[in-house]
Amino acid sequence: MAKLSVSDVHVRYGTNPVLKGVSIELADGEIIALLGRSGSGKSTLLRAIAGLEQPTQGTITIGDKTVFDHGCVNVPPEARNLGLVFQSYALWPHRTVRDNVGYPLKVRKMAAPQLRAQVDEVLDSVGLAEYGDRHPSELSGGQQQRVALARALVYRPPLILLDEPLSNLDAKLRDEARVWIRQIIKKYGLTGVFVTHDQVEAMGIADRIALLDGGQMVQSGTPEELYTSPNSFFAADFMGLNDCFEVTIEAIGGEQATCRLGEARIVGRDKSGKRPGEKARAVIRVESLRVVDGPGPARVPATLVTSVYVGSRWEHLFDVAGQQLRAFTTSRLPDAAHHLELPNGQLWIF
Amino acid sequence: MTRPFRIGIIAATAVAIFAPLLLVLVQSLLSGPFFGQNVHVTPDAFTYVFTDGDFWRALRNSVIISIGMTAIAVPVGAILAFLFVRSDLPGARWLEPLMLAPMFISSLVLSFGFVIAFGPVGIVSLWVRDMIGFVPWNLYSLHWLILIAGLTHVPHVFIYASSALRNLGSDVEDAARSTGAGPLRVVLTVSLPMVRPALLYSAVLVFFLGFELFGLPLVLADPQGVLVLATYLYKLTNILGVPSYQLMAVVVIVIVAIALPLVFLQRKLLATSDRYVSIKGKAGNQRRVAIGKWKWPALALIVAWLAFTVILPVAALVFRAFLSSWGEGAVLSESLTLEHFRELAGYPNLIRGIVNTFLVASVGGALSVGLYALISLAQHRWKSRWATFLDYSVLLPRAMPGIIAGLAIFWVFLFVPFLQPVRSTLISIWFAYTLVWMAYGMRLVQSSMLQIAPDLEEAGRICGATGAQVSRYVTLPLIRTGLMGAWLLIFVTFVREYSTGVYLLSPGTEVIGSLLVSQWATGAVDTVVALSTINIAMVMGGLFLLTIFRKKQNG
Amino acid sequence: MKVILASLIAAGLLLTGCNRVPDSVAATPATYPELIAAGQREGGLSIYSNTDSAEAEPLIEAFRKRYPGIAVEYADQSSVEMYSRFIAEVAAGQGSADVLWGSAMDLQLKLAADGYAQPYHSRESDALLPGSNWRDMVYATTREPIVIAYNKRMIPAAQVPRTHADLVRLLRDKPERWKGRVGMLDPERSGLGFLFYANDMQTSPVAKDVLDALGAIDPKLYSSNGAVLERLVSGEHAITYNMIGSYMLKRQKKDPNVGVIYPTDYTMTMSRLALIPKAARHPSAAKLFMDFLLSAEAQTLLAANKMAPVRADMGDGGVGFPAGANFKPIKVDESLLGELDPVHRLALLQTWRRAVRDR
Repeated sequence: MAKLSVSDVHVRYGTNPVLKGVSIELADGEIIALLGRSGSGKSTLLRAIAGLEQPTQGTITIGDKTVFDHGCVNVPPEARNLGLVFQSYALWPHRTVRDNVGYPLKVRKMAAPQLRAQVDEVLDSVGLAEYGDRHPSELSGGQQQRVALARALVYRPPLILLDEPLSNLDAKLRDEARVWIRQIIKKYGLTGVFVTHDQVEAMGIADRIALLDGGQMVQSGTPEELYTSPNSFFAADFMGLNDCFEVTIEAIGGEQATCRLGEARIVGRDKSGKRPGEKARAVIRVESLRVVDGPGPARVPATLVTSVYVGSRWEHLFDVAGQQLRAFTTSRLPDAAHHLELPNGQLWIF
Repeated sequence: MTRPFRIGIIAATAVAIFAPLLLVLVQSLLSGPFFGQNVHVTPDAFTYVFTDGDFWRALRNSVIISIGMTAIAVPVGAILAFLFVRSDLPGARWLEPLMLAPMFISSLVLSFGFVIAFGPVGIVSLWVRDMIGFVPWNLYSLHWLILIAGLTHVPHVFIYASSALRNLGSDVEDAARSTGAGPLRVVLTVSLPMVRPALLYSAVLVFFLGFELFGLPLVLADPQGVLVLATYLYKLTNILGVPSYQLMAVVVIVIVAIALPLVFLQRKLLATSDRYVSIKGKAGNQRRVAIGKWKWPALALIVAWLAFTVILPVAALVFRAFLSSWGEGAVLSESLTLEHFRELAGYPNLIRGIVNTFLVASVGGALSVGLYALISLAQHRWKSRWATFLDYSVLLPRAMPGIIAGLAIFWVFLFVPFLQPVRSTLISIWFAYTLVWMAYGMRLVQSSMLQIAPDLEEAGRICGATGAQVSRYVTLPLIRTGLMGAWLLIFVTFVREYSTGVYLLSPGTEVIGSLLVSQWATGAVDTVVALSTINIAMVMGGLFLLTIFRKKQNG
Repeated sequence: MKVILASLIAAGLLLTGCNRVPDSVAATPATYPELIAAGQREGGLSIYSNTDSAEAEPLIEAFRKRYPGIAVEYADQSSVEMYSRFIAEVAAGQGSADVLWGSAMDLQLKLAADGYAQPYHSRESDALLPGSNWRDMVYATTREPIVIAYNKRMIPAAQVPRTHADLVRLLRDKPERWKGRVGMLDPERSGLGFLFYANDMQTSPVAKDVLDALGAIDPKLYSSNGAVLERLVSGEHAITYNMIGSYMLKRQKKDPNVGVIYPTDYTMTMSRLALIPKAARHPSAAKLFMDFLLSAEAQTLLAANKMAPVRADMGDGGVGFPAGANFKPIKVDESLLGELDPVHRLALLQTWRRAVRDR
């Protein structure tokens, strides 16, 4: 049975439609990332699941309980029994860490000694055992985030929601936190939904990704699926670092499309639904592009425009038939004419 | 808070607000007192008022004064609030209680302070005349009235602005300073705009107080024959010999008609209150903005305001309390006397009056603030027509100038059966005061509430707390400063009140204000002034203690 | 909700009809001891008055000493407040005052004429000056001249006017000297101000001359005594016209700069009028108080506060009227009602405006 089931949810702010019919299914113990740009509706969807937004259509079911069914059921947030970590952490500044974390248990009328023990345990598991008596203003950003997570975990909710959990951390912390958040959620056996605009974060923490844009679902699947088989230009372009360029379709054969880029011919996986003679957009991951020494199949001539050294690699900018493509190498390139190889399986035509 | 509970509170508040107002409305359409015999419906009252030249003159004057005084009070109040709360001005903590001083004194008495100090034969005026041969100002002119009205209403703006500024995190200002903006720039472009709701609310409220202005024009505008709406109302009570309630009611209807669009405007200007959220879940520190070389002009501004608005008129008043005669040709040193205080000491019921006043103001004031907080919570973050309705209604009791507010509430207590036993107790006076000043107390509480980031409250809901539990655990503690500020404002206002409770007073429930008025009526301004001196001393003493207490707490 | 409110008000009004306190116009007990006993049984007395409580206090004390069983509640308020409060309370059938004692002579008489007062022939009636008793319903209790007050620092003794004609001459002689320096109560905004003005005009044609003379020098008009008196004391005003003598005399005691003129051609006098409402809950106590108020003891106490007695056997009670003062009392009778008639009143105010305001 699905742990979370969201079906055809629509949300409007005033007259402005923000979610235009989104559905997701989440199995027990899964972590799903709601990924998208600002304004894609991902935070709104999260808040709707939490009960902080009122959809105008659709149903939401958590476990076997329907928490929202437009027109008949609308369980208030405090009765939905889920955890939510806010982007701003929303720690109460006038309460200590212990009070913050213990409040959900206090509301559930847990006995004091048991409450204390459970708070201590969860603080320990987020590594803040000695910070119980501090106030939030005395903690660093990373520590505040962990307190917020502790507060969401302390009452073992079946479902935990996180709103941009890593966006307020600096880069170094972010890497650590990515691993650690996933660990904790799996350790407690929770089901999780989190919102992010960062694909690396999404791929690192989630079992599945739901890519949203303009209030609608674009594609849903595992990180690998989304990365290696995007089914739309938006999905392809959103993930990873890409080169996008315009080609003209010459021939279509089954799943392949033969296209012309300048004078060269290249073949890629056809997802365009277009006919020969039409223009299309080609997308390839930058790391799939290889700089080679001579012409050949799936190779196009390119002129080097500029190079940048970033420590782990060289990043190059090439001019191919008037369009600019990037490629990476590990060593410097001689300033000469080059060829770029666009492997068939890695090139998508939309 | 559950929906039925919210609706219940708002409905109860609405009944309290509209009972007296509806009486007034009904009265405006009758030919005589609504409880009289042989009274019929007629538009005559409206005809009389709308064809009375004095009414239009009074209306025009009131509008001019309101606009003028708002234009003065808001900027001065805002800048002074910034200086005291956010800048590193030295000595701020000791001077701050003085900022509220004009509010301690009833406007009738304070206006007389101005006359004694700056009037045609005032102490300062005569001194200047001795020096330069003439007095270069005429206190009884309209622009002086506007100036004094504006400056004496600075504390109203100050209270709202300082409360809001106290809750600002420094991060926005730090950000501004880091871009190289000087302190003045920071004030004008960052700090003050962040408290725009507080400034806008207080602007509307001060504008409204302008319509209600009675003591000041009575003393300063009377000699020129300049009428304002409240003094015009006063005139209507006497012009036909027998008080004509229907005419007075028409004037109230006019003021209500002005109130509604004002509230509409205010709501439009504050459409997005999210922009002003500053108590967020990410704790920041509060640091004072260093104002460097602006220190001296700032101090000069504060001293100038204090000198003109507080020190000189109050000193003149206190001085007057010890003089048997003053003015043109009087030799002050020969006129010193303690006679007024002696006379005051022999006044029956003085102690009882003082005790009653303090009871109503302190305990009653705290209850009022509690009530305001409850009503504010009922409409807090609730997008509903009920909340909008409340917003429009809350200011309406203040649309009735004191004289008629008191009368209308008296009628309600008199004619509604289950309220009758309460009429001759302090409760009815407390109720009248609470009702009439509702907009002021509530705005302070509401703006504090809006400063809390919504997600702090949402976090509480997610944790499993109901709306009421969240209010208790999160909202109310976080607005504690706002609540204290509201209580202070209400306390000072209730002590100073004199016209609203007049019809509800009985032997045993006298308050200082009523003693003042009855003395005034006999022309005994000297005892009035003596009483005010005692009044001021007590309130200042109380504030002084409060400052020491606060210092001990924070130190 | 409005329906609920309307029905509440309607219910309230209905109840006022049903709740009417029975009129206490019972026959006065035949003997005085019986009256006293009845009063003691009633045990309470509520007085609405616009006489300052400090001045009334000695009276109340003395009354309490005489009749220890009667608890007196004294409510000090303005004459307009008194009137409004009283008629509303009677209409609501709620308890109201047992004695109304006010200086708004026209309002007091109107209440009696409108049937709110009950008649009582006070045992002191015969000792009073003529014209102090209207149909046994309204009694004059004091005799207070309406004077011209001046600041002695501003006007040397030789120039002080003695009559109304003197005043006219003084004002016309050097108008620049008096511009803005004369204050008075505004007939439009003060009930007493109108009373004095209307009676002034009725008493003598020279009043019209005074009016015109005043109109020419921009008189300052006020709605309350406090404002005028203080400005007289400070010298901002040199002369104040038609002021209540008792207040002036009291101030003179404290500040010798205040001078008081009793114009020798005529000096109006006013009275504080007392009446017992039909709806009085303690009628016997009220009657006792009325008698007391008119007794020598009370009148002496009032005179101590410069409110001269209205008893024929007490002269000026020690207040200090000049010998040969020419008093013209404002009559306590139906003529007061004429001034309340809107048409008549507005006509008088028209005359006033033309003379004073519209220059």
